[in-house]
Amino acid sequence: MKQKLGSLLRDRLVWFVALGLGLFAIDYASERRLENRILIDLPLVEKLVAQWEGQTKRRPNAQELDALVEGYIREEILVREARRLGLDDEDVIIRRRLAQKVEFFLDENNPPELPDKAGLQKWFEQNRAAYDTPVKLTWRHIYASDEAEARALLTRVQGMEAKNWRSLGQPFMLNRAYTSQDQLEMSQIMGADFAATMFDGKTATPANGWVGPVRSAYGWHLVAVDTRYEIRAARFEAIAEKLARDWANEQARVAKLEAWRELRAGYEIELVPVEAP
Amino acid sequence: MTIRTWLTAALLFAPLAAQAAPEDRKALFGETHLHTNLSFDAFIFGNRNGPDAAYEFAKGKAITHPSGFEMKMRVPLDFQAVTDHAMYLGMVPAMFDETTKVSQHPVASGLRNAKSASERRGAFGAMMPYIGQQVEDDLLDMDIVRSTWEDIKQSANRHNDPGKFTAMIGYEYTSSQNTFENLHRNVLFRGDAPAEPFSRLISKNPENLWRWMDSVRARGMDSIAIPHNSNGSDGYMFDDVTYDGAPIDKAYSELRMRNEPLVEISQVKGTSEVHPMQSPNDEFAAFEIMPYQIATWAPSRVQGSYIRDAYKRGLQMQARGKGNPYKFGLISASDTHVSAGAFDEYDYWSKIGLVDANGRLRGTVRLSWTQRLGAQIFRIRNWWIQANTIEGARTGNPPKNPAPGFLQMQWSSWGASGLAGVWADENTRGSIFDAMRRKETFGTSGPRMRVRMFAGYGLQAKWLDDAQLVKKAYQRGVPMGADLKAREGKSPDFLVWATRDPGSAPLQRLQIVKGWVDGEGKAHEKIYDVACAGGASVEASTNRCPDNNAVVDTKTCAYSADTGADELKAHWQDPQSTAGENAFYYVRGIENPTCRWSTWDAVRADSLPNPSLAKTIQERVWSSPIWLEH
Repeated sequence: MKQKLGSLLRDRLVWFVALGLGLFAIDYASERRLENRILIDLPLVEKLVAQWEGQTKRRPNAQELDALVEGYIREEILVREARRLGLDDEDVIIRRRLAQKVEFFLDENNPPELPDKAGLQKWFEQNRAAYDTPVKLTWRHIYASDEAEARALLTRVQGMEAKNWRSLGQPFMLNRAYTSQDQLEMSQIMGADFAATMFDGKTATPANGWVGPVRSAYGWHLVAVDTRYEIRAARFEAIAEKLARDWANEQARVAKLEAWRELRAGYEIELVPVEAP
Repeated sequence: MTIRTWLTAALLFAPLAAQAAPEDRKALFGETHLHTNLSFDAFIFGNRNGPDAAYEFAKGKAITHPSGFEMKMRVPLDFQAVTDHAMYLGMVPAMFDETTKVSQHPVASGLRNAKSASERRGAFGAMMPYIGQQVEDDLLDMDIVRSTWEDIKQSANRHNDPGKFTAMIGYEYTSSQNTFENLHRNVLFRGDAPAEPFSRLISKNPENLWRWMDSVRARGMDSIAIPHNSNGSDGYMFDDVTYDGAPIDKAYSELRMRNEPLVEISQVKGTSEVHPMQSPNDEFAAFEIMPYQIATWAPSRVQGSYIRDAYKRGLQMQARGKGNPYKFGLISASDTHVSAGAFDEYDYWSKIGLVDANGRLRGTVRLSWTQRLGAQIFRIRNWWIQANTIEGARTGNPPKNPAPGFLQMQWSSWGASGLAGVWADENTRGSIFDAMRRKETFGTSGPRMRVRMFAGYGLQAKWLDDAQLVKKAYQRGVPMGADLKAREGKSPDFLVWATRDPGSAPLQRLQIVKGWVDGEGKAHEKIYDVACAGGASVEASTNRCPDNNAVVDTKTCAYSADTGADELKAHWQDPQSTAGENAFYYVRGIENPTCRWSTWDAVRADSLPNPSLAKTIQERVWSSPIWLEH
């Protein structure tokens, strides 16, 4: 037996294994120690002091500094204990905050680089409709409560001195004249059908003078368009700054969407079927 | 500078200001009563939309309801004021922000941790004693209140765009009598406002609010206060006595009228024009009646709670030499708590947020049997809570549910109302405020009807068809909101005129409501139809239009579109004007019937409508009165 033990002690393999286990134990213990160690270094203290100064507008004295550090230690220990207990797992606030941080990464993933002038110009050509000023009308109207009355008024207004038009027709509760109004604004006031007729560019034009009657949500109107402002094409130079901003926003939006799609693609979503009752 | 010297100076310099021709005044539509996430109750019930979002909504952009759907206006507004509760302004968001000191308070953590609707209601209840009066406690941080108020002012300044959209600065003074008798008013400023709003924590007596407004006016910051929900005031809003119970005298009347030229006639929590018990001969009086004190199940006394009665009382007090404290004009507003008013019956989201977000919670869609069981438990629980609540904080138990199968909630008696109308020279803060001071205003129950009224001597019927009608009417008469000096032996003429909302039903009739006090001090009222749809004439024996046979199909909500009028106008002369009798006259314009929001809820959910609620509604517009003064 003694011999057997002796031979074991002489066996290099056994020594090797024992030594390995010993090293492992030391390593484990020191790791455990490291895990329970809280480092208070200069950068940390400077950070705590800066926070204090931000709130009180003065530097902490020695006693206050002690309290700050002690407060940090307390928070750090509680946080580590909470993690050890797994309290961070299903906490809604923490989940939301983590998700929010990754959202920020998605936002900042690809800070877009501005294209050169030609590139921006090309983008402008592709999207120019959104930058044009829509057709607008400056117009007047004479209101009548029925169609026949309106037709009778048409002959009268065409035969009279132009400036006296306001003396004709029924009183109207909204304005009798509107300045540079677009189609949406007009439909909100007079109804969509009326606005569509007015903007079709055929019935009511500056050349035609008084025309009508046109039906609105309120009744019948003779209308005169004084000025028709055609679509004013946006000029590249005039809106270059806005274009650059919009371009950057659009690139960021697309990049974020891409990044999200990539993330999403890495996950398999499994829908668990619900048993029919 | 005393108030009197200030007023004299203002009168002296007023003519120097550029005056637009009154006939060019435009009807502007707006919202004067709206709560954002900065109001304690709105935040608790899920609203996360701030003042900026509220102004974006008014300008036509879609914003999100607490329960997730989008809210958007049919047509954008011309003006708006954000009016959050002054007490505890911005405090609840601070309680939810765990870096603040107040967030450590037990009430604050209770609020944060509430998960279900009933826990939210419970947490809300725990906060109520603090909201009511100043408690020596660290739940209130005035620095937060002041900086929130500054944010509100800056948001209004950012969104104010003279000529296009007016954003006014305002807040709600949320006062009461002893417990829940609603004495709330909104304070609106003509321009800038002082550094801190006057709240109920400083004084619950509205007379002190008015004195504060006087003093702020003397410093160059003009304001008016607009009371609302007199219907839920238990008779205290238009009482015969002051807040402390003293008799009303001339000084009180002047103080009140200097500061309160307008009253909200209709809003989401009911309409306060008239109660059917007071006016049994007004067949249109039973309109959107909300019978409870605000936030309770306690009935609100009728006497002193409704506007037509207040007008009559005012004339009676005037006859006794006490001045008239109730000579106010009319306006409507929504009082929404989700930063977005719901004005359309067919697109309604009530006002609180999570607790009234759908038809089932609003009592308009039938419950399943499990939900009915839940509702019973809720009812019993409420009964138990009430039994254990101290007197004074008790909100009461609902009456017997008239419609078993539907949830019974206070908000079942609420409605998709209302909109403010002002006849202003321009779309600017100054012009709109001045129109409010002149009382040249009207209120609607939601749709965009426009109404005008003029009174005078020698106003002619033929002007109605004259393109210069408005110019002539201003030259020879006075507009709504004004006084008409009586001429002995003559009866005044009226010109009244209303147009429909192109997006709602046509008009059915136009009425003049008259009230007066006779030589013995007795008050009377009479209602005259003055214009009928389809050119029909008023029946002389009843003063009513014949039925125009307008109908609604409550299964589909389709309504007759061919029997109403796009506009109605009339010349009317008072057949009964008696020498020496002061009187008031206001216009009520009534639409053809349409589906009420509660019916829309049921139709959409394929449910039976709640049998205890009105199925249809006749939307309406009310003008400010003209007072005949001898």
